[in-house]
Amino acid sequence: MQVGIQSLGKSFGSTRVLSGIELEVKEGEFCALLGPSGSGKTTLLRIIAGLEFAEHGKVLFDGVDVANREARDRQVGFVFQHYALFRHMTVHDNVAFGLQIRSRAKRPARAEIDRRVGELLELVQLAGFEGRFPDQLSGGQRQRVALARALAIEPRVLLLDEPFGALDARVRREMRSWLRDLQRKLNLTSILVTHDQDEALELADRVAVMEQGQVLQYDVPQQVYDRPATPAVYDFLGGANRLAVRVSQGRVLLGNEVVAVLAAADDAAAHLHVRSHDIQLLAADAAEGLQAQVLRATWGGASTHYDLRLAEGSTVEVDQPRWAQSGQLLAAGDAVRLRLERFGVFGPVAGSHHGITG
Amino acid sequence: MASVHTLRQQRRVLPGFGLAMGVTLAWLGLIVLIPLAALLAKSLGNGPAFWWKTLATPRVAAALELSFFSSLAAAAVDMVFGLIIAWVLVRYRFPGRRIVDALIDLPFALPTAVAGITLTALYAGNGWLGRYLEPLGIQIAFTRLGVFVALVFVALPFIVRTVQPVLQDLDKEYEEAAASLGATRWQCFWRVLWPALLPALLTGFTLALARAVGEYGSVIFIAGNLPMVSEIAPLLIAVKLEQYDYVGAAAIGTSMLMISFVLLLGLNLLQRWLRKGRL
Repeated sequence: MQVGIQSLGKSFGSTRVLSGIELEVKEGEFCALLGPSGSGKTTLLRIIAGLEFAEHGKVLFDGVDVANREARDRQVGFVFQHYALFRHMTVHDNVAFGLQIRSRAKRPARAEIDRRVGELLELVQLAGFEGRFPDQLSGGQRQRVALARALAIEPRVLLLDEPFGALDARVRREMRSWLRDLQRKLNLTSILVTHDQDEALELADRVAVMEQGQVLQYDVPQQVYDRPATPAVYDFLGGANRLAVRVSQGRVLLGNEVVAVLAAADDAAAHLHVRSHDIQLLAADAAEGLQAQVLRATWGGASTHYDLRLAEGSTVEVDQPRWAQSGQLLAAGDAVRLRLERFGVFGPVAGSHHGITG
Repeated sequence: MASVHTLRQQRRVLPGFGLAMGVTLAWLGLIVLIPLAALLAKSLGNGPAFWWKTLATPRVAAALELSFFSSLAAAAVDMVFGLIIAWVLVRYRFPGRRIVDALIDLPFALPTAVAGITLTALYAGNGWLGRYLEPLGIQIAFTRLGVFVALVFVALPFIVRTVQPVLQDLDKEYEEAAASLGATRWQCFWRVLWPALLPALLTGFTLALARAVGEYGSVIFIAGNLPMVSEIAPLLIAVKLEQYDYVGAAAIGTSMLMISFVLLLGLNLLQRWLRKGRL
């Protein structure tokens, strides 16, 4: 099913939590709503589910506005962060719930329900757990039961509210790739809410980056990551350094040094965003690069984290991968040179420019 | 070697199982078991035949029947209305909510005699409420109905206070999950909320019942205490004591104890059955 959101707005009292939301999720597509807490992403998901209602705007399911329909009439599968399994029911009864409560005319026969529950539990790799109670399961198992329960009603769209938020890191990674495979297999339109950028980038076909009740950018993961539309998206994706620069005749100047050359740009003050792992450390006597001094070095396994001070005064964070480290680590006070491999320039006049040096 | 190992394993952050268990048993023995044993011994002082003869009189049987049936009825009615009150207090925000919340505890705090006199004054033929009810043929003061009203009053807080915390912990997510799966409001309540609340409701019911069975002060004022009609068992015990029939009083006491024990045991078993599968 295709989901469309048109000029949707919502307030809680005098606080605007969503404004002017436009979103289009295609048939079979996996969409991630990514944003910090308080960005309105969960509220948006709940509005799509019918658990919350917008003040204005449309929620379209295959072109039909369902904005005024109750949750029970929308046929959506909703998976909660804390599972919300019915504790007094067995795994079987939890999964069967959505079928058993149907009116007699629409309810499948008992044997048919049992067969479907068995199938679903097999799908979520919990065959044989029918008789267990939720309290007897681990977090990952509970979340898979919750997923099977949501799938039992053959939902038109699957909505997942931070489904892995309460799981530990390892289980989360396993569940992530498993869920992606399952979603592709079922070809079920799905919308996931998360504040974890890795989760969003890895799982989704398209990512909507949200902040303060607005969608800042909605695109495929690579575009969102490589070409963030706004400084806020850059900030949220991959903790970027933000440096004040000047653009003059197409040249980006940091202090008096030319950091990059842009194809076309007006002269203006601007900001340069560069991720900590998109900076290469060069030797102090290298022929190119920005001069800097090490303030602090923190060894961290896969990469070493450096806090540096540039010659013109601003500080920069750099993550140097292990393979790029030769000999001894740099220590506080050492001089280095930096090369910015990938960056973005945003200015009031200049608009956004993305660059790759070298 | 093996025993040393197991001892090590049993070490806890907070030590003192031995001491705590000792205090528990001593206290239970001193406060609960010894008095009960004394009661039992006293009641059989004139032999089992006398015990049975005391209980088998119509007046005692009527009092026991009134005590237990009106207590069960009061606890049941409070279960319904206590649940509604707890629901309103937990789920809605309205002006004066805290005051209503505090009012719930009043029946706990009020001396029972005060409650009894107040209720009697209200429901008597010339009272604020009684003057409107009596022309309709509803007489509450000095009848069995009065006993019931007094018990409803004293038992209410037990239901509200046991259900309230459970309702508070019962996340709205459960209802939302049910709704998204297609459940109607009634199905949400009956299949999701009710089973989750039932253990707490039963605990509340048990406490309310226990309180109502033992209630004395508030009932004797409103009941009128007519033998065979509105005389509760605890009052009959007091009557026997005034007549220096200590063994008879103890006999009624033990019979109440036994009936209560059977009821509470049954409720406990029911609760355990309801909690199956939960940790």
